[in-house]
Amino acid sequence: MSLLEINNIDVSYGDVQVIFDLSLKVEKGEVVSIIGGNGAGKSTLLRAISGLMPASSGTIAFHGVPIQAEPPENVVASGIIHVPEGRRLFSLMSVKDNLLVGAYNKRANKDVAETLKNVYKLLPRLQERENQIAMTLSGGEQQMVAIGRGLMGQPHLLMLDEPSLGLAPILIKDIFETVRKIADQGTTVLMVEQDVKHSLSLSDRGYVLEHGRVVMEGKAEDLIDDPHIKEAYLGI
Amino acid sequence: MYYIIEDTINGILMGSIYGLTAMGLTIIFGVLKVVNFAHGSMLMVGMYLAYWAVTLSGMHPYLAIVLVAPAMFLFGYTLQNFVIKPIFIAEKNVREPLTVIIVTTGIWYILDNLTLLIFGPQYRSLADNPLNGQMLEIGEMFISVPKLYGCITAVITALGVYWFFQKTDMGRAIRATSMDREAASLMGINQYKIYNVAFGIGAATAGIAAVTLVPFYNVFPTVGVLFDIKGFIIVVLGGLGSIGGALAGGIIIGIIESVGPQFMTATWTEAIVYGLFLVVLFVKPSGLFGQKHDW
Ligand SMILES: Nc1ncnc2c1ncn2[C@@H]1O[C@H](COP(=O)(O)OP(=O)(O)OP(=O)(O)O)[C@@H](O)[C@H]1O
Ligand SMILES: [Mg+2]
Repeated sequence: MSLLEINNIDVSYGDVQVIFDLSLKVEKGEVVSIIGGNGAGKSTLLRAISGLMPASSGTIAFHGVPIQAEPPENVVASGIIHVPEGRRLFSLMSVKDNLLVGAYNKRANKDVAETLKNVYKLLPRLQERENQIAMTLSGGEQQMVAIGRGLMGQPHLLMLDEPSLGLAPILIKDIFETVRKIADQGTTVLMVEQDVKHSLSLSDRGYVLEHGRVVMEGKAEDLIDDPHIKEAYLGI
Repeated sequence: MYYIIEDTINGILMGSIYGLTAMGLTIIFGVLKVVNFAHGSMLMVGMYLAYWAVTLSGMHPYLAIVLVAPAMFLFGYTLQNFVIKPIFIAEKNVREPLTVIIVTTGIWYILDNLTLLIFGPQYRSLADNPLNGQMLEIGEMFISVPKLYGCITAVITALGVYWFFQKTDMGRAIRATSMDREAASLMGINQYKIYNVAFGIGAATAGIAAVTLVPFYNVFPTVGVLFDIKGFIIVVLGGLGSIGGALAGGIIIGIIESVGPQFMTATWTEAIVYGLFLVVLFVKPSGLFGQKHDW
């Protein structure tokens, strides 16, 4: 049984269908990347998994339990944490309060202090800035808070939507190194990225999404060498 | 000169009670992003509760807080859960659903008329309560004791609510929801439950305000309307969603109302209040006291 198993889902915004008959699997311990151009439906896919944008048909199972009809708070309770595109921090709250809200769910709430210590160890910058208002952080720091806030929820599966979006190359490296560390500590990661080279090079597997459909899937190292991907996403 | 100091002090005292009556309005707006037109009516319900609790038991009027505040919390929580929430769910994709405002207006009419039906139009007052007419004499100045109590209660309530929002998990979840509902739901926060709690807290603060009013203010079915209008002005002055701003806005109005008549007729002081309200709306719509939400 896969950790996450999506079978044939369709997702629409009103009359406009965005995801078509999509299936995808994530095994425990894997890092899986979803790549694709603007408007391919990557964010919509994550929103469908986290319950923000329910699929109109098909099934999504986590730990073998169907979750496609569950509201976001139940999906969080089951162990899926979605770090949304654009960070979406609680802008007028301090860094620490943002992190604490991340541990709102019952399972995580039991050992907040312990988790906070681990998050600070992984992202020491956040401890230095813990009393700063989130709005006033730099883009890179904000992304770190968003990831830290996600970890505070004690994810079994961490979903990251374009963590490198809008960051300088040196910070992008930092972010991907952080993701690698998170994965090495045993958290399964499903990541949406447009920085195809970096994301595939730290992933085990990848899916390529175009116009709401999976057009290619496979081992990350095979995808990197694929001529179509080279041409369409790596600009080689 | 003494008159002006005396009036200023009494204005500040009464103004902080105004601020307390408006606090729930600003809390509910801050979280649900809708104006609760039933707020004055909730205050009125709180006043009847306090009035009957004190009249029937003979307890000290301030002791009624332990009864009225929790009862009003439950009342607000239930009202939001069973009457307002279904509208929110039906209008899920609308950011500031107008229908919710219409529903709160309906609740206002129903509560006021139900009260009229049950208790009649007459004015009731706690004539022989220990605070009635009490004055504190400082030199040549007279300070109203029930208003002084009210002011202290308003400050304690504001601090308490502020502490709750800053330091508890539920408080942080409420603030998070007020800033970004969707992001909050990704933290496992059920936004509708948060709305229930915020509405409950708003109603509870109205209940506390009611307790501070009954020792010196008449109770009647439409008493809430007076405070509704002041409340809207106060929360705009102080900044929608701001707890400290509600107190400050209330105090500004209290001072204008109390010092103004030394220099002009009462209709003019009202004109000044509305004028100030309009100026703030045009010049600084986020209110005199800064940020959109300071909690
Ligand atoms: N709220 C919405 N209402 C209507 N259509 C939407 C909405 N959100 C997204 N869409 C449409 O759905 C499609 C997929 O959007 P989505 O955000 O999932 O793409 P994406 O792959 O994440 O793109 P990007 O890389 O730019 O973030 C787009 O055509 C977009 O216009
Ligand atoms: Mg996207």
